[in-house]
Amino acid sequence: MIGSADKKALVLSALDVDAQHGASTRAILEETLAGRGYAVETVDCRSVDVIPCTGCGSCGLRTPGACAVTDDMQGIFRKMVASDVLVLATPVRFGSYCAELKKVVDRFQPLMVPIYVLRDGEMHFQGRYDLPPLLGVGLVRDGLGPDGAAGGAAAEEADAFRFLIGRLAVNTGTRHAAAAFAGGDERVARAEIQQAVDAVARRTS
Amino acid sequence: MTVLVIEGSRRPKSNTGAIVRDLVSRLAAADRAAEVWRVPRWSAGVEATDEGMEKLRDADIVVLVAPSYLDELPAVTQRLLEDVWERRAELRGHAPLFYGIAHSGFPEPIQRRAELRSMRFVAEQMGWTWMGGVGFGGTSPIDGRPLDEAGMFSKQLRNVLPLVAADIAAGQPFSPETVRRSEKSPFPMPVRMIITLVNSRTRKTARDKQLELDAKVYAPD
Repeated sequence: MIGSADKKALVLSALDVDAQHGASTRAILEETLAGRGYAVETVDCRSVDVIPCTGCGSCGLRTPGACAVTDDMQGIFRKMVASDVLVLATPVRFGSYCAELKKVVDRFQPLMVPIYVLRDGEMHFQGRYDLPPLLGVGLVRDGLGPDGAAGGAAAEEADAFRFLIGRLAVNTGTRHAAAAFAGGDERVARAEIQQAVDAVARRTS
Repeated sequence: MTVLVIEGSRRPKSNTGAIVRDLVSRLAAADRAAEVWRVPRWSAGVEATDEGMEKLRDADIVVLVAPSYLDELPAVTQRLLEDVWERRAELRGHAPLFYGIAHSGFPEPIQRRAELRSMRFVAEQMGWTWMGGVGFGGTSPIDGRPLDEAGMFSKQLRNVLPLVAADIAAGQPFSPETVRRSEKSPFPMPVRMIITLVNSRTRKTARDKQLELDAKVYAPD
């Protein structure tokens, strides 16, 4: 845990700290959140004991809201619902979360009630908790250009990831989401992350 | 032409499996025998991917069929694709035609858009030829049954899979007609009405079983 503020930021990170830009992106993210007054807790999705969702449906109509699989996910759920901002940090793979983070995201079903609602004109599950704003931090393969934009094919993947974070917000009933990208020039990544953190911080202040 | 269908779900009795079986039988009827490669378990050893890499090297056509979990590929499928990408040199430049099929319980096409786009990225980053993707909604009530036995719940799939199979068998991109028909709402009535009906049944079940549907199990004490 970094910092001791009243506001809590939970970072679900699948950044590979041994890979290029992984450790620096995580450090920038944690520093930025701490600098904005959050107590930061990072869960390393690469080392947690979480098995992929089996789609058993128990959390729906057998034991509503409770996951039938007992592993580290129960602790993660508790941290999620107690946090003021939820950050998903990941290398972007095929425009999506990497598998190590997706394994955790796939287990979010108990956060929803098996009652359907229309949200933004779409059919979704009703939220079970008042979940915090969502921040996605994506590490794109080719990095960011000097203007902060991802270059080449990475630009389209970054766009896809931004869309996906927005979709997760709609799916979980979180009303605000932002995304930032890293992977190249550290100053550019820092500015991107600061801007995105500020965008979600305005929703938690 | 050799067809490899990747079954992108590990769920027992899955709708993905039902779609794959139906598609494979339609491809066989069109004289295109298809092999199926089910995504390995998360805990599977590297040999599970070895076997698939061999199949990929032999395939002229690859079809990925996968459910949408929160708008994207399930983790096990994402992991397999990442593994294949890491090992792409073993394919020695082999570039099959690649088709994507996504499905989920929600009726709106936007709920499968991210996943289909990811499938396209897979093709592009592997150097394969992207032949298009189709998405089907409202598949939850099929509950893993053979499509022929799922009545009205599989009607949309039974209507459109012949077009899907015909496009694949001919080695042509999904036609605009195939895509358009896959995106039609699978429900015979407005979504709002479906929601009312399903919620009413769910609430009755909860009352009968004395379940608290909105229990906040993981709320702070």
